[in-house]
Parts: sequence; structure tokens; C-alpha cells
Amino acid sequence: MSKRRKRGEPDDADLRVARRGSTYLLRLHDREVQVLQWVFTDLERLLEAGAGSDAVTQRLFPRAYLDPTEEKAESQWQSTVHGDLVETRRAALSAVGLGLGAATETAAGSTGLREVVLDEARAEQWLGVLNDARLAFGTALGVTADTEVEETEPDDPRAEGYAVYDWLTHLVAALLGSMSPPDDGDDEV
Amino acid sequence: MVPHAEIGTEEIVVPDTVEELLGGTETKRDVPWVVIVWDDPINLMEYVVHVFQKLFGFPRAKARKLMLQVHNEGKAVVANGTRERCEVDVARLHAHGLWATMQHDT
Repeated sequence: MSKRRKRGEPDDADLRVARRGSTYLLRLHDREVQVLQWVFTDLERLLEAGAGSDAVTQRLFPRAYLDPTEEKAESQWQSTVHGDLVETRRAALSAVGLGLGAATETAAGSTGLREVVLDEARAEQWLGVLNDARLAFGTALGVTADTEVEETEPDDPRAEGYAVYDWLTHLVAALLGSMSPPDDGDDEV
Repeated sequence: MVPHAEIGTEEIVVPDTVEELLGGTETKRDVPWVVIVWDDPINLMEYVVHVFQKLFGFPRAKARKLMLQVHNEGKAVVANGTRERCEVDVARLHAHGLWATMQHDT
């Protein structure tokens, strides 16, 4: 798994998502909205392709059984759930894309800043889609446990991909940081 | 069936377990399955905790402990039950982007 940067470091990740009552305000610059739209289009194309043998598809839709003697159970399971898994992801992506398209300009006078209002369910949907995008980008970029995204040289052909991946990571972390845990009971352990 | 007249005279044997009650090796054979979540280099630790809490209703401390087990040991058993139950859990975990598989609990 990947650690995100600690809170308090000079990074505006925590400012991207603000909590207002029971809703969340996600703030994005115009340029970020464009990047997200591009990311979502890419993800949509990937989901349309459906079951494939490439690394990204295999990461988003892994096998249930590793045991090769369970091949029959595996194909039965795939035929039962794969269509639903694809459809659920596409529906979430579509809803999130619509929300992004409807992002309104903030009235605060800060130019080029837009905000999306999310309720708890929508926030979960955004979290899932952004995480799918991280999985797709990260897998395509060949991210490993040792990958230091910040250390990519600017002339590395993957630099732009890493930059988007890194930015998605901050967005997911910011969203997670503002969301209430599904159960925040015994947190003090 | 026990003849009507003999009800009350027969010794009633109460099964110790559900498996025994249901009888048959089929049921016994099908129970011990486990769902395993594997470490991956992309999912954020905090995201994995969130998903464990959301899907299984674990208290945060338990979700965190399991996440750390996945992170440090490479994998962790997060659920167990019948084959059918585990197939559902694996699909739910996949829907949330976690790398999960299932296998016999050996």
C-alpha cells in the first residue's frame, strides 16, 4: 500500500475539500477540471473495452480464485459478477462526470475556481472513481512499492503521467481526510 | 418419522453444530473458505481502512490492524464463510478496488 504525505506538510491537499454540515465542497481549478475530464474519458474507454488481458484491466477486475483447479468456479463467478462490476463502475463514473461538468464557479471572487457539492453517498462515489483512476494510472505507469513519484525527472516520458497520478493521490487523500469514517468508534487504540 | 404414539419416549439427540444438524459432507466441505486481501503498491493505507470499515462494519481499530497486516505481511484474511458468501465479499472488495482472492482455509 501507499502512504500519503502527513498532514501539516506544505501542501494544499487539505484545502481542496471542505466540510459544510453534512456535505463536502470539493474545490478545483479550471485546469484541474480539464485534467479530471481527460482522466475520466480515459477510464471510460478502458471500461468500455471490458474484459481484457492487459495489466490495467486485470488490476481493476482481478480473479477471485488463484487456485488453477478452481477454473470452473472462476469462470462461473466471472460470468455472474463481471458485467455488474463493469456496469457499477461505469454508472459511478458517469454520475461523477456529470457532477464535474456541473461544477459551479465560486462566488468568492477567486477566478477560475470551481466547486462541486457532494453529499455522503456522492462523496463515496467520487472516492471510488478517483481510486479507480489511481489504480488504472498507477498500473499503467508500473508503480511499485519503491516508486518515488516526486523523484521523476522532468524529461522522463512518464513525468506527465506521474504528475497526474500524484495529483489524484492528493485528491483522494484530501477527500478521505474530510470524510467521516463509516465507524469512528474506538479510534483511540 | 417417529410414530405418533412414541413421541416423548424417544431420546432426542440435539446436534452440536449447524454442520452436524445439516449433515452431509457437502456442507462441511463447503464451509471453510477465506477471503484474502493482498498488498498492492497503489491503494492508500487510509483508503483500505475506509473500505474495510464500510464493507464489513469493522471498528476503526480492527480495520487499521487488518490494513497493517496486509501492508506488513503482504496479505490478511478479512472474512470467512461458505463459498457463496466469500464470492460475494470478493466481488464487493473488487468493486472498491482492493485486490482480493478466496481459497480453502487449509
